[in-house]
Amino acid sequence: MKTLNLTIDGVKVEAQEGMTVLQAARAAGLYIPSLCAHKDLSPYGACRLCVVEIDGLRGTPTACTTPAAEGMNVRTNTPGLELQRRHTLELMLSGHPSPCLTCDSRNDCESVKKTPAKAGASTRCSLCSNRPTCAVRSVAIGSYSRDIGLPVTYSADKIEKSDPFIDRDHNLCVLCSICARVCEKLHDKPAISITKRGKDAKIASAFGKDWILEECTFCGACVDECPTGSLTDRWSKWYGAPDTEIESYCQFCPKRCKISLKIKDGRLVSTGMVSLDKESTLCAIGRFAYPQVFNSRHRLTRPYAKIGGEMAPASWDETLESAAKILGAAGGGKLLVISGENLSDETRSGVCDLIKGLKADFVEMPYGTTAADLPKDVADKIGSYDAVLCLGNYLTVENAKKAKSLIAADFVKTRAQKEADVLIPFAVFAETGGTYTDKNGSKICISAAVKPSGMQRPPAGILADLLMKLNLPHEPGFKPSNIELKGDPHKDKKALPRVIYGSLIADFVPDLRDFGQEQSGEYAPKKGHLIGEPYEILENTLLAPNFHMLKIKAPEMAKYAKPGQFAILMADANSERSPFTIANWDAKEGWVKFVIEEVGRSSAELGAKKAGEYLATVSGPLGTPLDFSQFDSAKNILLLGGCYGIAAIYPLAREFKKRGKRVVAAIEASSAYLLYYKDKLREVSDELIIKTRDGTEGTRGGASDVYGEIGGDFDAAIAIGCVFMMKQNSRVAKKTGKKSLCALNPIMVDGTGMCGACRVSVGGETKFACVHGPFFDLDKVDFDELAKRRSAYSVLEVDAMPRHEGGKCHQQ
Amino acid sequence: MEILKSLREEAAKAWEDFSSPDKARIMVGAATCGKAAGADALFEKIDEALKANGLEEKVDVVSTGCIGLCYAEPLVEIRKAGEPSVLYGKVKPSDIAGLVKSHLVDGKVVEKKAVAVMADEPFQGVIPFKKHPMVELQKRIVLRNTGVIDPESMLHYLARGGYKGFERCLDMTPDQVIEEMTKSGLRGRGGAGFPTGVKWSFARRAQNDVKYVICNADEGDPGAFMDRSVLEGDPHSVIEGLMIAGYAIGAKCGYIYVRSEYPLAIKRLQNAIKQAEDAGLLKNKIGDFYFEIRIKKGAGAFVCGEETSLMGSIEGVRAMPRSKPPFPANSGLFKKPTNINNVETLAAASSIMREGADFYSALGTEKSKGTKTFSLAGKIERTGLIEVEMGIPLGDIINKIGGGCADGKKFKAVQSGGPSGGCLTAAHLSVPVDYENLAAQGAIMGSGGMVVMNEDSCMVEVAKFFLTFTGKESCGKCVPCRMGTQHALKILTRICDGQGELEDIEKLKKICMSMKQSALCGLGQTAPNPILTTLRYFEDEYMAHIKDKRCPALACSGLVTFEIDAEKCRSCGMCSRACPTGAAHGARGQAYSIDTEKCISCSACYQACKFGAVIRK
Repeated sequence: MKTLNLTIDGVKVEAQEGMTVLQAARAAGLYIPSLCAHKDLSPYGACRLCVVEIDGLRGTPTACTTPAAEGMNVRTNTPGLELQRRHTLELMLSGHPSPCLTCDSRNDCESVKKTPAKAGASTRCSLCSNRPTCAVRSVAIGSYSRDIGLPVTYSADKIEKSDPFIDRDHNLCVLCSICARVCEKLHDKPAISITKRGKDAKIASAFGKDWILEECTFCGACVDECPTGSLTDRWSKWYGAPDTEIESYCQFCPKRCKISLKIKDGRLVSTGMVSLDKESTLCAIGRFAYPQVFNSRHRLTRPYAKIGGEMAPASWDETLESAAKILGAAGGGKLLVISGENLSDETRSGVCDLIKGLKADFVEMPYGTTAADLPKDVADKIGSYDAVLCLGNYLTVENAKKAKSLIAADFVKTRAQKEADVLIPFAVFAETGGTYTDKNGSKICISAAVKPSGMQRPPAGILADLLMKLNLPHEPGFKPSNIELKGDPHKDKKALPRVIYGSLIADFVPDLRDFGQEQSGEYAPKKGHLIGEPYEILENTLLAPNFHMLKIKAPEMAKYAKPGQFAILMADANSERSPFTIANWDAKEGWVKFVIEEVGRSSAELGAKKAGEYLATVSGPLGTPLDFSQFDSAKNILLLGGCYGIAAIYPLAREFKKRGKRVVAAIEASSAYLLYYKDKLREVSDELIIKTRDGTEGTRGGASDVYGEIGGDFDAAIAIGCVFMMKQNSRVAKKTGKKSLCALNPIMVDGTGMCGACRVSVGGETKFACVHGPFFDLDKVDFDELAKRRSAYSVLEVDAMPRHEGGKCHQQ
Repeated sequence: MEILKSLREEAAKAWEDFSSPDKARIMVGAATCGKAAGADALFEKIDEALKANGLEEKVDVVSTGCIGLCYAEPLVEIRKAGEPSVLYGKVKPSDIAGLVKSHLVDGKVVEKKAVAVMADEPFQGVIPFKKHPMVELQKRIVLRNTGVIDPESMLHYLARGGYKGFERCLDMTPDQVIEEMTKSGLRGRGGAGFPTGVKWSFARRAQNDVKYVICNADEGDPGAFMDRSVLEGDPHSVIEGLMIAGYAIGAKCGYIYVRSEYPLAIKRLQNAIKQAEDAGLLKNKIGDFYFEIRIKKGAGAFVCGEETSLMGSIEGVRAMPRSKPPFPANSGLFKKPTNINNVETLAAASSIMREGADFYSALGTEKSKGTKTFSLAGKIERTGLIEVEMGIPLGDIINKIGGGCADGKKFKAVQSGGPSGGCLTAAHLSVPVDYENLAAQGAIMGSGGMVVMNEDSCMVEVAKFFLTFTGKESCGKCVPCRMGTQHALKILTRICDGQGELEDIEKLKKICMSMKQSALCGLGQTAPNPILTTLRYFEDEYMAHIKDKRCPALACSGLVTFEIDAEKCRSCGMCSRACPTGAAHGARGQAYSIDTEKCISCSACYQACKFGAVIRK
């Protein structure tokens, strides 16, 4: 291949013939911004960010589409090009929820909000699951400015959740077409295409077909390559970027495809292709179901054994000892061993040694079979054995009951395990390794990639220990499994694996029902019980994306509510209890209003409730009402609100106004499309100041800028908003020396001072926000500690996210 | 050429028969423009009238293409045996009986309806066609057959010198053909104006066994209909041009990409291709040369007129522009070397090869040779299809050929080059119409659409109209075009609604600049032109909208109020009946009035009033 010599920005660069200017620059370590160029895909030229100047070429060609040529002199960063790029970027981001990208406080804010909030709508970076890896961010930060002054829109298109695995958020899409191009590269019949024209152009299934019914095989490459948060893996999106990727093999079916295990903080959070080519595609089970089954809350995580006739958690030693005792007593044809076919050579060898050593009867369940498939003659004979050892979910409750003594080993909990005398938890998939020999004799060796989530151990090791305890020798002559697969799961969704170790995969990934996979009913959800009367929702209005105004029938609360108080809401009987400020109430009509900001599961559940539906609990009013007498000497009151705080300052403003104060209300939002309650606040204040972080409405900046802007023309201030907003205000407020309060809503359980979850440090003292608060001196609160406490459950919050049935089903 | 020898003899006879003044004939212009004006309804009436006069056996009734005088459609040419043919315009079905009786039986030309006589001398006081003000300044090369021959007759085409250009090619090497084309100075008539000979030489030089030539008949500019008229009126001229191009570059296969909205053009093309195949010109080895032509019907996306999108569309993928390089000449349709020319270019090529390069290069200006067709549309007296020598002053086209603005209104501007072009004003009427001079004024030649605007046209609204079009037709691939058209349209809409702010002008300019510099294809790069030229020549109109909240042309509904002049009002109630919201009201015997609260400024009352009593402000 010919070597070409180019000059890029004065640097002599060598490139190979066939490279584009962009590839040549990248190979030489030079940066040219670009979004739609992809190293494994052919040039496309849609984002227009990689424009350069090349001597002898007209205009500003794109580096990604221009072939490198001998002697080329390229400039990538002239002031003209930078302006051109800035304008292109502004045009692109005007249709993308981008206020965080121009926000001066971004770094401060993100140091408080270390992980993005799990909101319903990604209206900005800090609510976007893609924040840790976003290509738009990395291109835009530093070079994006709103020079033209275009409005920023958030079109609030509904997130498409029409298939089991992928969230499609068209609001974030920049139409780089990487998904469609990847799909075209990997599949003979691509499933993704751009449809419609102009502003309506969007990524969709080819010819608008149903994702589940049509070509899409759910290989997930589009999700993995999407540079924005548009296409995300519904299950894993909120865990953040993996810190480790390990190349391994999928162990779900005998195909044993190469797979990349994506690990975050020692936990497997996702899987993916090892490289972007046709041969490496994964099926829907490998790409999407794998981590869900692996991390299922139905996993069996510790051993149990009968101690004093009662099943109880036991140590491994106790467990194996009990097992060995049962097995040892059942030698000479009195033991039945049942296992599946799809096992590693080591496990099969262990099973083989055990059978031979104990002269046990053995039933091997073929690949893809479950407990219901156990042959009748075997089932009928179960009672005739002294003991049964079952590796996997191959015994129905009925059959399990027949066993005189049962050692059950499995990777998940099942109902049949209630009948067991010893319960052994398997390590599976990425937790364990092993050798697999195929029918041609070629072997693959898999090593464990992550530690088990609990006390699980690899089956081969457990068997080896049992053999040792039973003093049984290793016998030669085991046969590796030789399973013929029917159909290709990579092409046909009907051929996807359905069973793993005797359990139906759809039991752990319920949405696989969309592909025609059945559930056993093993894990049917339990309904919570309501205590007392539910509360009727009279109205649910979307004030701004993610902000719901809930009007609830609660006559007693309406009678007693005072400005500044809050209530604890629960959507359903088994929901989390979360505190929300009472935004308005009417004692005569008997209703209260709350503004709910969607930031995770509980608030999403509340936001999803429709008028006419009920809330399980609305308990309040709670908290100490604001003591207005402390402001008797103040004439001018400054009220500052951000996010949910915009609604929270409303009742305060109204009361101050009633008391004859001059009220200045200052509200902040990231962008114009996130503002609400403007007219309501104008009614109860003398002046309304609007601040947006991107300058799309009012003036650019945050509420904390208002202290300076109004020139100290206030006697007291109250700031309510997110922890970052209040922290930012506290810094400024401290300097003014004027009386400044904030209202806190940390994690709470009972809201009456019993649990202590809401403890905050104020001026070095520990206070309970629920009873001592919510109002505290703004400058005395330890906001860093508050932020830390609020994020204490962030991983569990992710685990709790409703992710099945398009994120609607909260019970699974 | 051997295969055409006997056909040519037949053709000569057929043409003699057709054009001989000895036989009475009625010819109806039945291209799409004629049909739209009601030509189809005339045939039945003609049959009836002929029967009534016992002439059905003595008079031939034929249909032809568009002769270009669209303003006078439907056009009917009537010839009495032994007399010159007379062209009648705006013929209604009810006129036919009278025309047949008077012209064919009584031998009297109906002067009221007569447009021109198809002869060199006046006849019964009717001026010769060539002296008709719309025709006199024209130079018809590409359009020489349209409206003259029967477009479904290959014999007519042959008789008028058809396929002689191709025959001449066969005596030349491909390189000589390209040389001839280069010498003629012909430049791409699709709008970009790239020298055709040079373009052909690129594809010629590309090494590949398989090459393609494409005829781009995806005419999509609003108000442009040159290509359609040529395809409908003289399809063989395009087929011949495509064959010549195929011969020159070494392609065996040609595609004609034509939009489905042109069903008649497709029908005529299919017919002509079949005739050429039957004659042995296509799908047949002529010496070493083999050529066949396929028609690809497009679904009407504007971006398909862009060459790389068009090729994608033929290939069956979503039509989106691809980056160049690689250029189509090296990697085009199905990644093979491809040459693509517009309809008019190919039609001109056949004439050039027939008549010789010198014949063509003698016409036009130094850099823009030959002739160019234009479609005149909008608020002009004589709308139609014309062909003029390059370099003719713009004013001659508008005022002499087009007869100035319709209804005696004042000329304001002409949009040249469709949505990719720009507007020119009264100050530009002396500008010679050629590639360089139009570009220097911010407009472009484009494919030849000229939309005339008069004093009633608001230039902000004109820009808004074109941006609405390009915004809808943007394929969405590249950011500057997809987002730029949206934002520009929003701002223009705001200005038209009286919500504009001063900084909007600066914003518009920045958006336009970004699109011009950064968009991927011609659609996006030129989409800002209507804004930029209206801003350049009519900034005061923008300012009036923004600062004074006033539309000087009284065209923007949001900025116009309606009143009734009590003195002029005759209390007829027409305004009230036309008003959709009940704003115009009154009682008999009293002057009517308009309730401004209810008025939505739809202008219905203004149009309904016959006494000029409704006043716009």
